[in-house]
Amino acid sequence: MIRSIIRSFSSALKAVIILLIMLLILLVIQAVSLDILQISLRKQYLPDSEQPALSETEQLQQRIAEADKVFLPDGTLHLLHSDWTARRQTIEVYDTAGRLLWKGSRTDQPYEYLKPADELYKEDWNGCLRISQNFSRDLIFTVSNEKKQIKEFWRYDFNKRYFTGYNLQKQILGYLSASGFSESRSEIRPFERLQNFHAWIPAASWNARCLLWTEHSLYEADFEKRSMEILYENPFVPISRLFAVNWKETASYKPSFLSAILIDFIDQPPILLQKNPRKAIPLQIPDELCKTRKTFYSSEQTFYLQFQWLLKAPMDNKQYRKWFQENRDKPFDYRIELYQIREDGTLEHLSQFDYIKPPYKSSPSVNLYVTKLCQFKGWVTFSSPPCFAWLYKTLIALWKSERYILKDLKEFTERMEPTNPYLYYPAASVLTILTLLHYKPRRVGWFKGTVWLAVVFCFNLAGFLTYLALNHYPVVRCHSCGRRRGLNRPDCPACRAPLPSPPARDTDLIYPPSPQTTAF
Amino acid sequence: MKYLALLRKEIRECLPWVLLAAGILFVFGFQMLLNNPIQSIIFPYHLDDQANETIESAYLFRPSTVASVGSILLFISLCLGAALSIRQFWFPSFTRTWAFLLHRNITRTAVFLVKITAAVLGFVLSILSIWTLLFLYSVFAADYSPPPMPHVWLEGLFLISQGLVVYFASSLSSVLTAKWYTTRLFPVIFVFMSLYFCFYPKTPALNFLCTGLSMLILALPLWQEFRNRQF
Repeated sequence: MIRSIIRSFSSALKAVIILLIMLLILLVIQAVSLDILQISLRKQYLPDSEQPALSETEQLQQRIAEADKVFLPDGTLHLLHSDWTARRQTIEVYDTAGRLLWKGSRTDQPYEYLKPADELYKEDWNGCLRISQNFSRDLIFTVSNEKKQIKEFWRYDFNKRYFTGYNLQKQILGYLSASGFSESRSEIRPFERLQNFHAWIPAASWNARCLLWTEHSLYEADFEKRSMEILYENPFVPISRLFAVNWKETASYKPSFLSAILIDFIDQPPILLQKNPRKAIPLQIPDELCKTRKTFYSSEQTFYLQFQWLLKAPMDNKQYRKWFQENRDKPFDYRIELYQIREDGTLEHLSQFDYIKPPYKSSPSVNLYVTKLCQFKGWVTFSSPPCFAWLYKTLIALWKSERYILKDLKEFTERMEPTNPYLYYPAASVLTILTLLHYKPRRVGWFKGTVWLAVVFCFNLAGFLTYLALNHYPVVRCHSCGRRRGLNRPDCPACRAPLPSPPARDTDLIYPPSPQTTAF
Repeated sequence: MKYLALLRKEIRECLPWVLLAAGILFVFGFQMLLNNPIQSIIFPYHLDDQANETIESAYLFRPSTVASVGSILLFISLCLGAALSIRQFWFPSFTRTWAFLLHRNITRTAVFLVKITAAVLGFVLSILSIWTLLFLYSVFAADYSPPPMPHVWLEGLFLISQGLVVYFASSLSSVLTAKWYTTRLFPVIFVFMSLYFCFYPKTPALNFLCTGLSMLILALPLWQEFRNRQF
């Protein structure tokens, strides 16, 4: 019983090996064909591709939409047009009414604009920890002496979630964890899962400092002083993003400017964490502005918060994507607002600017190129497995609902996804019928046959080739019923007659002599 | 007794290859560890922006102190896998000695298991033991700091296990009766796919799972082919 299960399981595994290789060969052939077609189509259609002419108003709108929008500390908005092609990068400064205020090299410009904060998003560092031929890598901070010679290493353990310090003689110096520095393991309080970190070298030292952002907390690590300062901790609300302005005491640090970190949450107003004096101020932001794109600034006197959003777009992510798809060919109305942050966390409106971004219009030749390419992809992928189309649709539905399962398969499924159902379903059906015709004289049971038919229909050409590789046997006419029968089984599948055996001769010691020979 | 006798015979046949692999890994592995001074491992911080003196985060992820051994460990494992399978499954066809081995009072499954056991023992005795030595040297004796973390040893084991995948694939290819340019070549192609998929996951557990799955996919058809083939 077990042996027969293992036997059928091993036959299935043999089929899996062949099927995977057939799919790989098919993928290579399709990818090469598509690339060749793409090159030839590009030569044919794209040389004369030109953007359709925009009207005068649209040109102006486009220019405004593409300009850098920068603020002066009093809230005045300027539009900067950069000429990146010039040898010395030149800029043109316009006001919101379209008047040219200044033109010249970027380095000579007379205005002191607000400098935006560094933004930190969640980052997946698992890629750096992946096993390669050189093993996985470690997150290590070094501490050097005055002569810039390394004297300590602090290594982060992603499994145990704390830092361990080593000297050059490999002795453990201590541990840095959420509870700070400790010399014994018993005092360690591991960090939560690390979301991201941001390291820099202060002007007064050669040793790195680091902002550590975990799910609900924010820490600043100083490896030279062996300290781990808790900047913010709230076990109930996860942090979604950080903005650090003038926080790092590097060479470019401005002591006269205010320093802070803006801690942003998904569904709650952000918290302003001021450096000097250290205090956390919850900001009071209207609900409609909570989910908009934010930019954080500081000056010598105060902090600023800029919001930018599409006026008619819904704030919910899913609805936004749907709305964006539906309105791609329409102009978008944007709004930018700048607010000053008061000491009590309320906002004071400083300025506002509305602008329109004209819709992107592609040239007719580009449209033709895209249409032709889609058509060709439909032809080339006629032999792709229909199950890939089902898989791709399921994955897209999952990803749209923000469940990023098997995200790494995106490129593979996109390449092999059959796009023309009028081609790949008939192709799969024809191959299934061919399989049936091929299997009928060689049949060894209809369960096996049904499985193979399902495999061929689901995997199209790859399934058919796999079937042939494992099930092709020569066919002869049955001496009893005259029907075609495969030589893979001892009896005829139609009449159950055994294979004819040669007539025995007198000298045959095993079989008795046939009646014909005994007649003599 | 018969099983042990067969095992001794298989080990005796594989021993030259096993010793060769162990010797190469020992010499080159230690040479690489000893010629890898601390300065070459600790490169200076890469500054993202000179004005801000911000450190680019990816540059803080540094290779382990035994990283230089990884490539040779993988290469020797793959080579040993191929060499053992050729010695055990292809060479008897070439010297026409299958009949002496199989036409005895012992089942084919036992012969198959003995061959697999001898190969696994070969890997353990040669590559795994030398890798463990190299790892222990870098943890306790070498002049490197910080010492490699314990999971690096497991990662070495993962690299060695790729050799077993190659062993099963080339054994299956040797046992198949098809023409060499048809489906007989498929297990070898499958190894490349398997290597890609085994290294692809980001968590070590998934790496090992993929390797185990690849071995299973190759080992069961190998067992079936070996049982059914007429030598």
